[in-house]
Amino acid sequence: MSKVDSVGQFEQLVLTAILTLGDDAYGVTIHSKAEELARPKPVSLGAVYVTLDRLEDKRLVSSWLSDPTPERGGRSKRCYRLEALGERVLRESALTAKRIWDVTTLAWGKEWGKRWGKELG
Amino acid sequence: MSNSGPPKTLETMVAALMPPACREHVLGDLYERYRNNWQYLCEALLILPMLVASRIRRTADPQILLSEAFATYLSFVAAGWQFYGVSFLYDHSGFLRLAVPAIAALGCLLLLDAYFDRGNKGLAAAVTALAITPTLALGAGLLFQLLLGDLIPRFHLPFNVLLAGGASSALLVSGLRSVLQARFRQPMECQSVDPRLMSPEEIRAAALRMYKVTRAVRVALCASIWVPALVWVPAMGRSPNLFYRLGCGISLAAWVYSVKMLQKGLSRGHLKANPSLAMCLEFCRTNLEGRRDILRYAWRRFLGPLLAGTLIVLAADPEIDVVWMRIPGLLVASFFYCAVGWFVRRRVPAFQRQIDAYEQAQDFSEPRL
Repeated sequence: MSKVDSVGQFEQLVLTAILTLGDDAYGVTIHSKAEELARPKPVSLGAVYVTLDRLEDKRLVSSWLSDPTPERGGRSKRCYRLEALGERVLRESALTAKRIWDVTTLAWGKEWGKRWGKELG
Repeated sequence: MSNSGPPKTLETMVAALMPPACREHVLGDLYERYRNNWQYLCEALLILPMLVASRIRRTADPQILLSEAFATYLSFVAAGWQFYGVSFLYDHSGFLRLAVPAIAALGCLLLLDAYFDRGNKGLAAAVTALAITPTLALGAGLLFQLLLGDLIPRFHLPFNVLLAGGASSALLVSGLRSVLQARFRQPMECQSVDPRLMSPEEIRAAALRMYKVTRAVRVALCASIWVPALVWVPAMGRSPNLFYRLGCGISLAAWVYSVKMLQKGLSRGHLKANPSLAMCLEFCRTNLEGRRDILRYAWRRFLGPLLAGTLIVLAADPEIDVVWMRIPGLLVASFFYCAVGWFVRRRVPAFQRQIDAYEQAQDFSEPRL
């Protein structure tokens, strides 16, 4: 069985991208969103495909092929959707991130938190 | 983004390189991102290794691969031994030379599985996985060895060794796949499914599948009990060396004991006709517990006794005259058993997680019953 107790940072990014994109989540849009979330680090399209495969194996997301469209040269999209397990895992990850943020802001001061938040946009 | 797509030739070329399982959507994505030919080609070539690696991860099972590696290598070693005697193995790096076609064939096998395996369950897919892929991979391995032998004479192997080793390893790999893919791969597919998220029909189907697989493996185990008897009993009679005979006897006893323990581990739980949901969940849980115990006590029940027998046989082999020549064989056997033990132990937590999930599903399903 694939390990689903914890997911890596990049997996969290891809899960977040799928959550944000809703029905329009497929390779190209997920890659753009993940790149936006991972800024300033670049994200390769291949890494997104590999991560999507892994998330699907872990049953965190499910996929299906859409109808072919002319703007894609008559080829289908593989659309992705968050599964219940994926939502749960993402929620746990978000809570952990929130706790880390709270503790670091407390330790380094609220000013740091505001400045850092502004720098990252 | 430009509206025009890549040239047809370029697209066909890239499509030919892509694994068929992901060809459709990846080509569509690349088409959508197309800006110019150079960008398209670079992007496709950068993605390709990752896609292939991901396909290999999805289609390859480490345990099956390890068994195939051992079977392939052993076939070539046995062929070399059969045609040219034991000196062939120890002189002029025989063990190393024989590993080359085995490694090349395994690499090809991984790649072919990644390209051919689409997760279909039909007859054509079974024939591809069991017969076509091993034959093509072994053919490619032999071709590679022939080319390497021409380029570097040190790695040259006689053609009869290559042919006999290749043919027997193709047969062995097909046989292993037919047994192990049911035993390991099918349960792996079941395991990746969380029973807490499955519908009652899916749980019933999973239980029935698990039941059929267990029954098939038990039948195969019953049949396999005769295989070592055919090898070790004549070997015992061939040599007057008491130590060697003792090793053969221990190996035979260890094999029978291992098969009996495997049968015992797999006989947990029973599924009647038209089972209820509770019975299915109970069967899956107990069956997985049996499998977990097989893996957990692998050293004590299977690998330990088998290793002891194998080491005694290798240490007392009458065909090897020089004592230090026994060392590589002993090392290879020890390494192989340790590697199997390590892989086996790694699977225990996964089985435990699955058992826990089934336990939770049982608690959860009680109000539904």
